[in-house]
Amino acid sequence: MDNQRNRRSLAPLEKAPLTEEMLQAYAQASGDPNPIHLDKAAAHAAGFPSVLAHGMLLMAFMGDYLELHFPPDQFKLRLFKTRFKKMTFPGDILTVHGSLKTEEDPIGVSLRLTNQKNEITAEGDVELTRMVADAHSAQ
Amino acid sequence: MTEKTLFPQLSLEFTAPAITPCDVEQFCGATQSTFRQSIPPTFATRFREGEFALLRRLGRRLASVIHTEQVYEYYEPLPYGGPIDVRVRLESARERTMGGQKVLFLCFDSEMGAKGRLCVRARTHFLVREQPQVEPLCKET
Repeated sequence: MDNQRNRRSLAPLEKAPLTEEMLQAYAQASGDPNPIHLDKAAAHAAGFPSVLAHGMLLMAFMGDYLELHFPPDQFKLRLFKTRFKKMTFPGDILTVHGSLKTEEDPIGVSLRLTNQKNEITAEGDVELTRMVADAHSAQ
Repeated sequence: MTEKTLFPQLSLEFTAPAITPCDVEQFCGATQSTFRQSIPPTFATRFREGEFALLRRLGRRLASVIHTEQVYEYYEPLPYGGPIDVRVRLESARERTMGGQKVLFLCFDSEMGAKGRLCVRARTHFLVREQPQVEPLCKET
């Protein structure tokens, strides 16, 4: 039975503070044209105090954290689910936290993204499998 | 709270250009990620133009759309160098009246593959907060 209190925590990863320039760079790199991430007037018209960060940028932060702890040459990602819980704006500082739900294959990981006020902005669930080492490899 | 289920039966297929190392490096730079040669887990977001096109067919402005959940299932690695075939369909559309306001809950199901092999399957959940700004090209059934 999975006991949340006994889950092994992974070292957190703090990202650089969000800026409007980052949102522009991410829009360019991801191809997301939604103006609420780029244009203050559009964001205000939609009822937001400022441009807001793409949910997928938050998920990308969690993805980077995954690859840090589970290098892609050793682990194969099977499933990555993220629920976006709270809007995130330029100036926010986000930290990814993770804990192991299961250590046997498939490995289960819970992720949490918090801001500088320790509010949860996104939550994720991941499944990975260990890659079998090549019997003929130098390792 | 009242709910109405809509089935516009929308779908779209297209072929995206090949992924290059420059694309991945740009993506890693924009996401504060280490460039590891392997394609990052959320790189598949670059193939969501089909979802945006289907939202336009529904007469919805992007600014009224909130991304609430994203799911990726991974089968084969996305490859460098070859075209990516993308199929996207509107899996579900539910309209609810909450506090006197109509809110639309959408789920898009996408498959991205290369050379006939499925690489990534995605489910994107949106919440749309306002009524159509233009006459939708599809009708409720």
